[in-house]
Amino acid sequence: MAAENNLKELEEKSIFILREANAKFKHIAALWSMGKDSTTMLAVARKAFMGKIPFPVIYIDNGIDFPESYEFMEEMAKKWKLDLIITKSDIKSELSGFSCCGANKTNALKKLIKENKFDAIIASIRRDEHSIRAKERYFSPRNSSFKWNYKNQPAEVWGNYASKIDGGSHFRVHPLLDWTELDIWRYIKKEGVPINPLYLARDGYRYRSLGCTHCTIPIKSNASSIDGIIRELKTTKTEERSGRSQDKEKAYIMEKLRSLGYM
Amino acid sequence: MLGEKDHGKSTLLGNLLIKTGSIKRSRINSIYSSNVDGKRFEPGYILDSFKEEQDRGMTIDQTSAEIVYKNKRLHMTDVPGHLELLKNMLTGASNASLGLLVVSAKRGEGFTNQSKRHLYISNLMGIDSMLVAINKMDTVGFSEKAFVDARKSITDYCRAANIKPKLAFVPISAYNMENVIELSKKMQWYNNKPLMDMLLEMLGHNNMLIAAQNGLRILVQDRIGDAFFGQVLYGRVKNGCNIVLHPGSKKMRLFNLKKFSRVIRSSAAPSNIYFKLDSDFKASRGDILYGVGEHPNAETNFNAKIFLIKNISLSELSESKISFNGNYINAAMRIAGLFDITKAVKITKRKNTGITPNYSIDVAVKLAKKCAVEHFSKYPLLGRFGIYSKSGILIGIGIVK
Ligand SMILES: Nc1nc2c(ncn2[C@@H]2O[C@H](COP(=O)(O)OP(=O)(O)OP(=O)(O)O)[C@@H](O)[C@H]2O)c(=O)[nH]1
Repeated sequence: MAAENNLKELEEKSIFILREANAKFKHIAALWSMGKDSTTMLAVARKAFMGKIPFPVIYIDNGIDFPESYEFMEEMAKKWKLDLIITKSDIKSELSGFSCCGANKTNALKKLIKENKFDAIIASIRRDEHSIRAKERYFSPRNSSFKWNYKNQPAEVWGNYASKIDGGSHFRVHPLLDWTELDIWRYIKKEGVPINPLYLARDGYRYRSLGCTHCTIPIKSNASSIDGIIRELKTTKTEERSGRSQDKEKAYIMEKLRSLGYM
Repeated sequence: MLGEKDHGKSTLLGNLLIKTGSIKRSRINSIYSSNVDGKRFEPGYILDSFKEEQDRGMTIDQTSAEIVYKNKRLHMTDVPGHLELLKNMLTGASNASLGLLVVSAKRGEGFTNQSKRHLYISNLMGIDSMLVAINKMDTVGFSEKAFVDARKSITDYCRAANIKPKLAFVPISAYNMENVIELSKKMQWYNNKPLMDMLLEMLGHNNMLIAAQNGLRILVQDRIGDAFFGQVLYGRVKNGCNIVLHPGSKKMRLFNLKKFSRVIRSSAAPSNIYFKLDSDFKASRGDILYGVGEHPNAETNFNAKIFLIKNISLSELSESKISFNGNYINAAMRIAGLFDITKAVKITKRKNTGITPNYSIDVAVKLAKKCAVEHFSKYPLLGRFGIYSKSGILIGIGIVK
């Protein structure tokens, strides 16, 4: 398989989308969770914009992320000279999947979007994460109550992406939509993208997908290097987000989360 | 993946995901467990993942999935078959390099008007190879005659409609995976390859959109201070070369060519670049840089073939904008001829009421602002456009003749 070639193609497409978004929107920002996908997106954005990311990078802090993640954030923000916006989301009493990384983060983001008049938010979702995400657009509008109207999405034909919508609040921009989990790791390896150490196995466990300390469980793994992860992914029979307790719920919960603006 | 609703597109793609191991076990299991109430297992649920899609048994929006087959990564997009969902079909089809048309051989289904629309429009959009899966062969006793009849109705249609896609036909049962990955024992009379091998073979031959052209074409995407972001669409650009900016025909020199942060000597399509121009004449988003001695085919007036996805009144059409590569321009379109796609006949007498998705329309376009335009057959990336209503909703597509 021409994996290298495919990475070049994916990178070119992502760069085009990032530049298109930057050209079309006035106030744009990117979401960064310190996970592998959004860190990869920032690495691509640095290449797209000649080494300096021209928009702010948002981290929504629910106060219960892993200590490793906080360290990684500080190190990367300095190294890549990120214009970092940290906003606190408050944790409500019930700490199920919905409230720690779902609705609570959404509320914090809503406030931030309003205060900063953001008209576009870059999110690093991929189609292969969930069949619902497979229906997403590269430029995907959210209405005034933050909802994703999947039943009536704008058409995206031949590089013509919608960037204005009546009564909408903002657009989500998805530069990594065509990438797979394996592509991400291959790119990290090829480009030497720094990663959150939680992804690498310690004492027989590693995190495959990162939420916060409340909704993520590590998987059994001996993959203590990026090569090890790539090897592991080629043979695994389980899905990426199976290490998140909120995913045990039925598919339509996901739909609900998405329509609420959860990314 | 094109075709009429309920002819089996989602079933085929769902089963392909399962049988090629392109989807993880845990996701398949969750689909099995969501199939309750004595209904039979529907592989299509893997793609039609919204509860509403499953309840109504239809695809609402296009879905993309990756199939890994014989070490090739195939990006497959399932589009909705419903007439009202043509805009989602266009979204899915606009990225495709090969069409896979699913036509059901079941009694009462067959090659319908919507199948014709999908076939005709995708051909218009530049998909010049079409693999046709004649599906649900199990419902007609795997009869060779049913296959031959279905095939004939499609080749007859192409002749009548004067379109010439490269066609290949495979009789299948998507639900039972007959002739999809392996040759079926139930259709011994069929002596060609199974669907997926046919697909790989056709992919290798299809190159409409990457047709080798000698010219240089760079799309100016954005202006960053005194520099530009652009995309090399055709040809190879060299650092320090002379280029001509269109519209405007201004000659200038391109320098400080960079990719990422490095200065480079040259870059070939498709490639996103950074550069500067030594000219007072300002380039702006949507302009095209040409090689010296090359010209656009048109700047304001050209002929096009368009297709509208819903009923549109003539006054609505007159208020529409068209967009080449994300640059919206007001345009006047005069109708020069109409063709009924479903009946495969020219319309000679027309009531002056409006236009429906049954027509392909020849128009004479006049742009309100100059733009570098090319023949679709020569430089497709510069010869195709979206048509948008006053409020910015896609109402159709067009190609430059
Ligand atoms: N007997 C039989 N039934 C089939 C076959 N393939 C699909 N079906 C059935 O046909 C029905 C419709 O199939 P879908 O795959 O949902 O159709 P679709 O073309 O995706 O339809 P839209 O999503 O609405 O565009 C389902 O109930 C399938 O089980 C087949 O090979 N044989």
